[in-house]
Amino acid sequence: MDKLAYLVDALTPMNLLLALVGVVAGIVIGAMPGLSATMAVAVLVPFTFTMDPASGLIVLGAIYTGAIYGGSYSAILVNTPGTPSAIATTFDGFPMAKRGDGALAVSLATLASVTGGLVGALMLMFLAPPLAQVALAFGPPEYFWLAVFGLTLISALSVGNLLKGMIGACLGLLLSMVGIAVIGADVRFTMGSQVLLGGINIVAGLIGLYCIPVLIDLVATRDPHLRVSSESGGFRLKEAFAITMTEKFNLVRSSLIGTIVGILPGAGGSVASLVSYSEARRSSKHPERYGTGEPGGIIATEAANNATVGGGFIPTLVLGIPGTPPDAVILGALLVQGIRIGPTLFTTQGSIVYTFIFGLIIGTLIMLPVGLLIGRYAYKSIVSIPKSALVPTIAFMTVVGSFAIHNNLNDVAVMLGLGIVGWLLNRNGYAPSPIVLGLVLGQIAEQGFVQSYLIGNAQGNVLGMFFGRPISMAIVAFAALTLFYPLIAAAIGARRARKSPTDITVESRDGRP
Amino acid sequence: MAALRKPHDVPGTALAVLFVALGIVLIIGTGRMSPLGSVFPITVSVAMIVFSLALVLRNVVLGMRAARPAASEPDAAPSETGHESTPRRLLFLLAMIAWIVLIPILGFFVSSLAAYFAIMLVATHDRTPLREGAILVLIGFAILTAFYLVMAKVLLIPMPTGLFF
Repeated sequence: MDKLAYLVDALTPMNLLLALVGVVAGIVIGAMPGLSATMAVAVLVPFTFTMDPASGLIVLGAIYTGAIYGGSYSAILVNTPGTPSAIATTFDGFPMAKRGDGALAVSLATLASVTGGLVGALMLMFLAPPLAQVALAFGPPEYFWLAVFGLTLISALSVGNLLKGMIGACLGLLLSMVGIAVIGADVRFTMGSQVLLGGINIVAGLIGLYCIPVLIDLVATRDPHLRVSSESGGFRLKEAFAITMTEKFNLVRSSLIGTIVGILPGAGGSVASLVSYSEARRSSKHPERYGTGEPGGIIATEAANNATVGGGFIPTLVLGIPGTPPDAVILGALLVQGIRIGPTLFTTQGSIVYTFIFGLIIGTLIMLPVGLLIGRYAYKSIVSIPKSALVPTIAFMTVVGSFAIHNNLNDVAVMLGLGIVGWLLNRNGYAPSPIVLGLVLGQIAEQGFVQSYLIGNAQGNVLGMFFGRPISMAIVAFAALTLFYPLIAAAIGARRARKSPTDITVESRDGRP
Repeated sequence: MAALRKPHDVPGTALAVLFVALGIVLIIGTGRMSPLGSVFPITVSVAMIVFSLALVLRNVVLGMRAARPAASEPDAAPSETGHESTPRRLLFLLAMIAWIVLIPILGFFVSSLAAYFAIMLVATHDRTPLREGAILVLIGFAILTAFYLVMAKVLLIPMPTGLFF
C-alpha cells in the first residue's frame, strides 16, 4: 500500500504537465527519421537538472517512451522507421497505409505501444531485482544466438525467393563490418577512405534503404503517396481495439519479450521488435499474411519496443548497467541528481524510484490520447499534402536526419548511396529488409561470436561455449523452430492429408517458387 | 540451344554474379586482417558466394525449363508500367547528389532551399495554379526555416556553413 503514496506524489499537476510535455516532445522527435530516442533524451537532460529528481526523471521517462512510440508514425506513413526500434513496424505498417488503412495502423500501434509500455513499467515496479539477474545470466554466446534468432526472420521476409533474402542478409552483415572491428580493431573494407573508418551508421542505413527508394518511386508517378480509406474516417479506434483483443496473446507475449530483451544491455528495441515479430509470425494461423499488412505484425513490434523502456530501466536501476542507449543517458542524469544506483536503491531511495515508475506509467497512459491525436494529424497531413510538397519535405528530413546523427555530411552521403543501391536491388527482387536485418544484427552477432570463441578457446571447450548453456540452447531451439516451422507445418499437413483421403489439398508454405 | 534464348530473371542473375565477384574481392581483402578480425567476414563472404552461385544455377535451370512452355515467373523484377518516368527519377537523384555536394559550399540552409524547390519541380506532374504554387513555396520555406532554427538554435547542432549559411 505504501506504493500508493508514491502514486500521489507522481500525480501532482506539475508532474502531469511535465509528463504531457515530455510525451509530446518525444513523439515529435521520435517520428523524425534520424532523430532518435537517445538524442531526444540527451538533448533535454540538462533541462532536468534544475527540477527535483522525481520530476526530472518523469520528464526523461516520458520523452523516452514517447520517442520509441513516435518512431512508428514514419514507419507506417512513409516506410521509414523513425527509430531503429520501429524497423519491423514498416513490414506491415506501410502496406496497411498503402491500401488505405493508415489510420487503423496508427491506432493499432498506439494501443500496442501503450500496453507494451505498461507491461514493461509494471515489471519494473514489481519484479526489478529478480529480473535484473537475467541480465547477468546472458553472456556472449546468448547474445550471438539472439542475433541469429533475429536473422531467422529472413525466411519470413523473403517469401518467394529465400536465396535473394539470404544474399541480402549477407550483404547487410558485410556492411556492418565496415570500419574498425569491435574486437581486434582491424580496419575492414574502408577502401582506404577515412570516411568509412567509423563504419556505416545503422540509422543512416535505415533511412537510405527504406526512404530513398520510396522517394525515387514517388517522383516517377502521378499516383498519390497513400490511398485514403473511403468507407471510414477518424481513429478507427473501435476496429483497432477489436483487432487488438483478437491478438491479445500476441500482445502479451510481445510485451514480455520486449521487457526481457530490454533487460539485456545493448540488445535494445530493434532486437526486441524483430524477435517478437518473428514469434508472432511463427505462431500465427496465417503467417503468409505477415509482411503484406497484417495487424498482428504492428501489434507485436510496437508492444515489444515500448516494453523495452521499462525493461531497460531494470538493469539500469538495480545494477547500474544501462539496458539501452537512452538508459545510459538517464543513468548519467540519475548520478547528477545524487541517486545511488544499486540493489538497495528500491529501499533506500524508494520515494524517488517509485515516483519515477508511476511517472513512467502516467506518461505511457497519456500517450494514448496524445498519440492518437498526433497520429491522426500526422496521417491527415501526409494524405492531404500534395506530392510536390511531400517529396521535397521527406527528402529534407532524410538529409537532416542522417546529418544529425554525428553532425557529419559523410553519413548523408552514405545514406544516399545505400538508398540508390537499395532501390536498384529492390527493383531486381532483393528486398531491403534482409539487408537492414544484417546491418542491425551484424555487430551483435560478431561480437558475441568472437567473444564466445575466445572464452571457449581459453577454457578448452569452444563447442560447449556455444552449445552447452541452457539459455543458449533455448534460443537456438526457438530460432530453429522459427526457421523450419513452415517445413514442419507442411510435413504435418501432408501427413494429415494422407490419413484423411477427403482432404487432399495441402497448402505449401515453404516459400519455394 | 533454343532454351538459352529465354533466360530467367536476367538482372537478378547478373547481380548474383556481381555478388560472387564482391565476395571474392572481400575475401582477398581479409588477407591483411588478424585471424580474429577476418573470421566473420570470410564466413559471411563465403556464404554470400554460395547463395549467389545457387541462385545463378537455379535461374539457369529455370530459364531452360521456361523455354518450352511460357512459364510464369514468380520472382521476376517488377515491370515498369507505362506511367513511370525514369527521367524524373534521375533528376531527383541528381538534385539529391547536388544538394549534398553544395552543402559545404553554399551552407546548409541555402543549399537546402535550392534543392527543396528543385525536387518540388521534379515531383510536380500537373500544371499547378499560381495561387497553389505560391502557397506550396511558402509552406516549403516555412518548413525549412523552422527546421533550420530548431536544429541550429534549439538543439544547438553545428550546421555547416559555406558562402552563406
